[in-house]
Amino acid sequence: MTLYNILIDLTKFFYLRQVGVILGIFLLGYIFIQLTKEKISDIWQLLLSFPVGLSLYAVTGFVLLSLGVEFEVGTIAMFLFVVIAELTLRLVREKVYIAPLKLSLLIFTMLGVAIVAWIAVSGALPVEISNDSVYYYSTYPKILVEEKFYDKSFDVFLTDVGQTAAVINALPFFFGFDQTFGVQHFMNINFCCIFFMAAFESGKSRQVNKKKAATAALLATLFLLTSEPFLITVRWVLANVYFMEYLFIFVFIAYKMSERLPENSVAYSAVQMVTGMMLTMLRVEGGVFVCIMVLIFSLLKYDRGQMLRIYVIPIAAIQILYYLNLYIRLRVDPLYSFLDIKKSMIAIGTVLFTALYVIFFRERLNKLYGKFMPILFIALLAAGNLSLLLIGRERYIENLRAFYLNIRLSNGWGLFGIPFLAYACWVFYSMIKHWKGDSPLPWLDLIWISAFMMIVAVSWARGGALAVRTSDSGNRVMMQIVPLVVYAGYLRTINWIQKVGGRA
Amino acid sequence: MKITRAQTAKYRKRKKTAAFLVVIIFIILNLYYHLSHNNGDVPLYNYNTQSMYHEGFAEEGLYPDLFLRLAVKDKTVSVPHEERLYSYYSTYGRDNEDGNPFDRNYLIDNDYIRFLRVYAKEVEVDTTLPDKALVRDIFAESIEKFEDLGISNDMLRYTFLLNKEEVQQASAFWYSWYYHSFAERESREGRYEFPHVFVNIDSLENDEHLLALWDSKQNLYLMGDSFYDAIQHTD
Repeated sequence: MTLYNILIDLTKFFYLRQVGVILGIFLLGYIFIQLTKEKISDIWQLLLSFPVGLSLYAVTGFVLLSLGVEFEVGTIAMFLFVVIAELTLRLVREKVYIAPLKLSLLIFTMLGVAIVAWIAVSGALPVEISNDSVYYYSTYPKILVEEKFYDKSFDVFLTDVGQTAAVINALPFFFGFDQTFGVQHFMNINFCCIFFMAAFESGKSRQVNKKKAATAALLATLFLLTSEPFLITVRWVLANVYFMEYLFIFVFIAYKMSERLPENSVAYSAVQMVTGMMLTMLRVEGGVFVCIMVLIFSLLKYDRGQMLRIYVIPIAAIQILYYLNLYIRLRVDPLYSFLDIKKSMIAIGTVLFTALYVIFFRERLNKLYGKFMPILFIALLAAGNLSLLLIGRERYIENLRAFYLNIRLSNGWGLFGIPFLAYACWVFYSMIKHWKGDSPLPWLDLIWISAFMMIVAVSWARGGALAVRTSDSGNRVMMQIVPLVVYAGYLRTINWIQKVGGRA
Repeated sequence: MKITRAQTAKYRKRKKTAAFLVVIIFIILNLYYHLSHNNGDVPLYNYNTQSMYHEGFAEEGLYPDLFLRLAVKDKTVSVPHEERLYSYYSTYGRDNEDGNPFDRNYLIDNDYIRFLRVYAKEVEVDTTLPDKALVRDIFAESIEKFEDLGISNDMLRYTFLLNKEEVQQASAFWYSWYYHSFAERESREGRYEFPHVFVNIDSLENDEHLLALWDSKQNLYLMGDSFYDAIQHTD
C-alpha cells in the first residue's frame, strides 16, 4: 500500500461533496439575489450568485463567531434562513412584484455550474501551497470548526488572519472534504466571466458594436489571464485571491451603479452591502482599504442615504464587531502581531472619519472642488505617505525599493511591470495635459492609484521591512490591484480609440 | 482643420490596429514567460487526489500533519496518558526566576495529544502503553517499516491554538520560540534533533484502532494496533 493509494482511499466522495457545496453556495447566492435584485439582468444575477453566496456564508460565520454563537452548519443555516425569510416578508409587505422563477434557466444554469464545479474540483488546475496556506487557512479553520467558538488561545490567529477567509476555508471541515481548491478555482473561473462581462458591457456603452466589444473584452480578459501576478495570486491558497476578486467586484459594481447603464442605480445595493462586509474581513487591513474605497465611491452619484445604507453602516458595523470581540470580549493581547492596539485605533478612526465625511463634508466638498476631487484625494494620500516617510524614512524607502525590485526582478510580476509602468506614465501625462479638462483623473484610475499608495502606507505600518521575494506579504497585496489596473487600462484604451479629433 | 468622417474612421482603425497588436504581443509574451519560467519561491503542485496532502510532500518532508489528519479522521487513537497541566512540572510558578526555567516535557508530553483530540474520531488513554523513554528502543529495529513523513515542528508550533492554559508557556510566542528559534539554535549546536513523524502505512489503512506513541525527542510513531502487537510478540 503506497501513500498515494491510501490518499485516494481516504478521500473517496470528497469530490462529490465539494461539488455539492459549490452548487449549494451558488444556489444560496442566487436566491438572495432573486429577493433583492431590483432589476439586475439575468446574466449578472448568474455571475454574482456564487460570490454573493460565498460572502453570505462567510460573513454569517464571522458574525456568529464574534457574537459567541456556536459556529456550526445548523446555526449558520438558521441565520441565513432568517435573513432569507425576512427578505421574502419585506417583498410581500411592500407588495413588490416577484417575476416567476425561470425554471428552465435555473436548471440549465445549475447544470452548467455543476460542470464547471466538476472541472474546478478535478485537480486539473494546479495550486500553490505555502506554510500560511496550511496553518492560517486550513489548520486554523479546522480548529474553529472543532472548538465552535473564538477562544483567547487563538492568539495571533485572531489578529493576523483574515477571518472571513478562515470561514471560507472551514467549508471542508463542515462538509466532509479536505481542501478548498475546487471552491477557489470555481471562484476564479466565475471571476474571469465577471471580468469579461464587465469589459464587454463597458465597451458596448462606449458606442462599440457588440462583436467588437466582445472581441475587445476577450482580449482584455486574456491579457489579465496570462499576466503573471494574476496567475500567481489565483492559484495561491491564501486570502489574497479572494481579496483581489472581491475588490474588483466591489469597485466595478459601484462604478456600474453610478454609470448610466440599463440597470437602476440602486439595483445592486444588497450585493454591495454583502461584498463590502466580506471584503472588510478578508484581510486584516481590509477595513482600512474598504474605507478608502468608500471615500472614493463618494465621488459617484450616490445620495447620502445610499452611501450610509449601502457602504458606511454595514462596513462600520462589521469592523466595530471585530474590534469589540477582540479587545473587550476576548481581551486578546499577543506579544507580537501585525495588528496591535495602535493600528486598531487607526482602523476604527478611519471608519469614523469615513462616516463623518459622508454625513457632513462630502456634498460640500464635491460641490466645491467637483472634477478636481480625484486629484485632491491623490494629493491627500500623497501627503499621508510623505508624513510616513518623515516619521520612518529608512523603512519607507526600503519598502519602496522592495516593491520596485520585486517588479523589476519579476518576483511574481512576470512581464507585467512593463505595461504597468507604461500605463502609469500615460495616466500621469494625461492628468497633467488635461488638468483643466472635464475629467483630469478618471475615477477608475483614481481607484488603482489610491490602492497603490494605500498598500505602500499599510506595508510601512506593518512594521519590519518588506522582502524582495514573490511570497512577501506586501508584494502579494500589491498584486491584488492587477485586475483594476487592467480594467482601467482597457477602458482608457477604448476611449482613446473612440475619440478622434475631439469627435467620439 | 475639420476632420471628415472618413478620416475619423481611418484614424480609429489605425488606433484599433495598434492597440490590438500591442495586446496580442503581450499575451504571447506573457504565455511564453509563464511557460519558460518556474514559479520562483512559490511552490506549485498538481494534485491527483482530493487531499490537501500532496504525495510529493513525503519526499520533501513537508506538512506531515496534513496526512495525519486524514489518517486518524475516522479512527480511535490510543495515547499513553492524559494531557498534563503545566502545574505537573517542576518549573511551574518559577517564571520570575533567573533564566526563566522551562521544562520542555510540557510540550513533548502533550502536543501530540492536543493535535489528535482535534483530528481523530476519538482519543483513548491506555496507560499500558510505554512511556516516551522506552519508545525509541521499541521501534529501533522496525523503523524501516515506517514511512518518514518529515519534521513535525511546524505542526507542533501551531498547537498553541489548542492549549487553553493561562501560562506564558501556552502562548503563540512561546510555541514559536521553542519549536522554531530555540530548535534551530540548539540544532546548530548539536543539542536538538528535529522530531519526525513516522507512520506504518499498511496497518494505518487496515486497522480501525490506532496507537500514537512518541519518544523523548518527540518523534511520533503512528500505527495500527495489529502492527504494535506484532512488534511486541517479536520482542
